[in-house]
Amino acid sequence: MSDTIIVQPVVNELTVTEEVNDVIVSSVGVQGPAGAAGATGATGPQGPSGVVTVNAPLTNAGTSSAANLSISAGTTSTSGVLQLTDSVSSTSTTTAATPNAVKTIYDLAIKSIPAFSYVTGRFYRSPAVNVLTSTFAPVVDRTYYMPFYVRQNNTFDRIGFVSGSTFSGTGVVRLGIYNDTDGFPSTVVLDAGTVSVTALNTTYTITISKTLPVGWYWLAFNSQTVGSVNSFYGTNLAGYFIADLGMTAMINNATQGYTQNVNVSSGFATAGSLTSVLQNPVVNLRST
Amino acid sequence: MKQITYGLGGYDPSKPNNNIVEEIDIPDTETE
Repeated sequence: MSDTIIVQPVVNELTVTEEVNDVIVSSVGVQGPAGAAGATGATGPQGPSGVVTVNAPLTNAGTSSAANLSISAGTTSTSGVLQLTDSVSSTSTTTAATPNAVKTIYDLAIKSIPAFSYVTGRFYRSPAVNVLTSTFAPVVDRTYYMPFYVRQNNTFDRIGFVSGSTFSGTGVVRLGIYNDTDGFPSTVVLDAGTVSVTALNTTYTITISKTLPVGWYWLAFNSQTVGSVNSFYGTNLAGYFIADLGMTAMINNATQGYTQNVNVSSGFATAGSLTSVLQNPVVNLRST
Repeated sequence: MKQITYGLGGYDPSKPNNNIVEEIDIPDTETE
């Protein structure tokens, strides 16, 4: 009889029929399969409430937890949704033009552009000038203003005149450009400076660089000192009169420009007391 | 006909040739 029984893992059953002093189990059996899943746990605590933040042009007619959003209408001062319109005559400030409406206006605008363009290097002068005389005699210290219409935005690089066929001696002439206000010369656009006239039948020009928007201007000529025979190319009495700029009456206002008795040795200043005049020295601008 | 061109600012005795930058003879192309 032995005192020790060794049970191996493969043994499923042990029967002891005699008294033994010791039983040693050297290993456990193979682990069984996992058990079934446990029951669902209890419901957890309620979470925090949600918050909806609304920024313009969005608006919220609901609450922070039950939003009812919409976009506010746009105005000229606030952003927002706008109704499109094809109208080309509406004065609304709360609707927006469609590309179709823009094209309608574009097509009309193209047709309205005058078929005119300045030519580089050519000289232009007042439309009032019809017939010239080469012996017009400007008065000393008198500014002569001739109207000049700029038909499209343009840059001019010369301003000048032609001395007369009988000029002699030495004279000093100042040239400039004035703005038009209600048909009259007003403020200075450009003081081009002076030229020293010493010869007859000579073109005198001053280099400038001036871009003029469409509109009326006045070309200014002032003999600061005069030659012994102070003659220049000027308008003839038979020349056109200025009516485009407006007259206070249909007669008695026929004029080719204005004059102002003023010393401009320190430069041109805002036009002052004006007198209508039928003859002017002719000033030209050259186009770039 | 002669054409005399001054530089920017016109007559200026402090500049060479009184600021005359060009003197050329131009043909008479127009009778007025």
